[in-house]
Amino acid sequence: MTAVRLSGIEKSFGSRPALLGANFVLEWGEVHALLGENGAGKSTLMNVLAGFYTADAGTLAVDGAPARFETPAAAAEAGIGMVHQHFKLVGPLSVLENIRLACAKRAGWKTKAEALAAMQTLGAELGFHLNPQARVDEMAVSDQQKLEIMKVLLAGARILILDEPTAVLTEEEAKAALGLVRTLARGGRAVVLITHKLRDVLGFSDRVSVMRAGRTVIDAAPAAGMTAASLSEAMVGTAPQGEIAPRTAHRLKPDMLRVMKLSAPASAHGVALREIDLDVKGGEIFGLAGIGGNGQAELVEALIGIRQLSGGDILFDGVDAPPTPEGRREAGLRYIPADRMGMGLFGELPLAVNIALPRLLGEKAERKWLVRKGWMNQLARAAIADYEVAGAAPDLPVRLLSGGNAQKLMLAREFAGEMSVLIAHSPTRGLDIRAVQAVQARLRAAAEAGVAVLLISEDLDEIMELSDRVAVMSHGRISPAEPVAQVDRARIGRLMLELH
Amino acid sequence: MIATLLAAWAATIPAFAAPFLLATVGLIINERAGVMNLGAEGIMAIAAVVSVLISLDGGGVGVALLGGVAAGLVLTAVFAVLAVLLRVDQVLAGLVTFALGIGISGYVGDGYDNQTIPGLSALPTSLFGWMPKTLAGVLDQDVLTYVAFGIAVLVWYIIEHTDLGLRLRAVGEDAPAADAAGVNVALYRLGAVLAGGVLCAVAGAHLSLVGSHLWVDGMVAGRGWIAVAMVTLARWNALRAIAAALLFGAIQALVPQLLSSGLNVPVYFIEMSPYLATLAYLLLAGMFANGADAQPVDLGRPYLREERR
Repeated sequence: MTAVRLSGIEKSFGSRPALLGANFVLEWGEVHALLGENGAGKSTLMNVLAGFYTADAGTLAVDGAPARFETPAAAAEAGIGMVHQHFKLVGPLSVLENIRLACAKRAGWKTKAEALAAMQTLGAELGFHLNPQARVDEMAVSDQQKLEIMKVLLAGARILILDEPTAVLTEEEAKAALGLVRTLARGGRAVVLITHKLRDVLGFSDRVSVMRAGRTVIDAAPAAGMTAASLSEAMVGTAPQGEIAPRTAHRLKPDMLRVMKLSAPASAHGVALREIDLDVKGGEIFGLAGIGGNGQAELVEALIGIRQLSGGDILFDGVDAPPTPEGRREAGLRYIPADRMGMGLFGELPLAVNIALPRLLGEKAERKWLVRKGWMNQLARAAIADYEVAGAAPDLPVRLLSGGNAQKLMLAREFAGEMSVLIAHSPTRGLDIRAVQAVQARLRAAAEAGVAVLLISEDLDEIMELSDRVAVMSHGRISPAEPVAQVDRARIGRLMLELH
Repeated sequence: MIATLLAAWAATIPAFAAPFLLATVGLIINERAGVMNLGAEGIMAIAAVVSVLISLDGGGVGVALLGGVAAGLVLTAVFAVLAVLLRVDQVLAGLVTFALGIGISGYVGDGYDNQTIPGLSALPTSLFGWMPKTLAGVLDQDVLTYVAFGIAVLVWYIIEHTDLGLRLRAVGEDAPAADAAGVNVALYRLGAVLAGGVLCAVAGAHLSLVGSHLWVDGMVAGRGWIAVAMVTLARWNALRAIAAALLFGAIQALVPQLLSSGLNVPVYFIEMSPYLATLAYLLLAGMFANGADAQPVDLGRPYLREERR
């Protein structure tokens, strides 16, 4: 019996396509895993089903009848409930208040007592024991997740979508949650499990669909017939092998960036760093692959000095890294953030100010207190010419530049002065092909000039193309590095999914 | 002698406290829904002057009150359109509302300064004749003052104990989550702003109908701003607002007592006392971080549903 059928779903955000004709079929009584890399379109597809996004094209049928959900409320009316990766709970309110808020209308409760009774009945059925008076933002994440699941069920959902439910849980909690999911499905509901983890698929799912780049590449295959290898290959695809250009062997300088047993606690919705060892040599590009949200952002923050560590050492060229971000910058550390406009550039300020600002650090400022506009403009003009920033002028606010040109500006700023270590986090994400090539050429040139380049990217093709050595980050850990020539793509895919 | 002075002082406290209470409770409704309205002072001024104008024109107290509230509501609607519908910066929208209210009230009240109106007087003394004298003095207030205290309790009950209040709080604490739970964020904020504006307007009408029985330009004299600070003092709780309002009412009630007592204190210093009290409170609050945890998380943050952030 088919619960949901999505066919040929297309969806774009602005000019960026997220779904290019995706399909999905869900049966009653099953746990259906939906697998794919970040950006493959899993969450987007399920958000279409749950009424958070409306599809640009394609059809949707629930229980065989055509449907179209303009709002989450309409989808909920049809019995579809989604538990988001980032919970939609009101933190300062209590457990019971959150449940009343989300379900009172649909469940028809008139009083608090009715809501409490319904909550306790379901809690007993599922084996949850949540204190109805507890403030939600003071509860453990696993309890918050239980609350979310209860909310969705109490609102009458028969089709449950769980977006990476195990991502925030410990091993034990994850197993308990997945066991619960199976119980719910056996009771006649239908469950979609959006996940990155093979364990979730092979151990707890009946069927599996895999998405890649907005398309469904495995459409509802029995999970029993799947192997880790076949799934990871479907997820990351097969790239033409052997096209890795032999890099001219240049002299490598060991220990330019060395990280030993680096640990840091997790922040809210974050990942803890767990005893990370890393050794990036001067003159190489070290590629760090991995699905986003596995500790990359935390690692970068630790390296540039804006995250509190719980242990471990960071050494630049054999000596302890200076404690402050300014000190590290002066010691030759440069950083290209994943979020250009957030962590990198000042969108509202003119290009000249953006270029000049880092040079006011230390003794490099041309005068002690005054900044001459002419000096800033001169720097800006030189950067525009050197880095071929199109459509730019020294007095132009940076937010008006296109993504590629803003990134070129970012490089121009970061590459200025004495650079010894470069951290590039998803440096080509969202850029067009010409900008990608320009950025990649700059990274190569930096390595050839002796800089230790740490390239962090979710794009495995990019990692394989640029890197000398490759490691994988997952769950706040890093796998041992291997020379790129010896790397097996399928094994990298497995490490991305599994490494614990 | 002292006892008489104290009794006279206590008897004036409720009427001084009521405008503070009404405005503070109104602002609590706003802020629990996540909207900061700095225009309270202006809304109070408009309501105060319109009430007086209607009274001078021969309107009864009820009509004057309704007229004042209607005028305050129109000004609040300007703020609501700016802050909730157009999502303009709330601080800016509030300051504009304040300036508009002060400006317009000065303009329409020009030439009607210091003309006394009958206003609203206290309940007949005979009702309280059987009580001890001091208590009778405290309880013998006008109807609007009683309404103010009643409204505070009612608003507290609605916010803390009803589904309506639950949704209101959800909107103020986490607008995206409230939206996901099916609460119409803009509608609730709009309702909260208008309801809050009504209470601020009643506060303004109370000042002229009960307090002064006349209009003087600038007579609101910063009470709207003190109410903004009192919301923090009351930790966004309408019941605590009663205590806060009584405290500030008591300080304000000291002013005429001190002035008439003949004590040799500079008059400007006495008139400054409510603001000094506010300053003292803010200093204490800053030192002990009082109330920071009770502040609605999404206060002052406009909400626009977006497909992808």
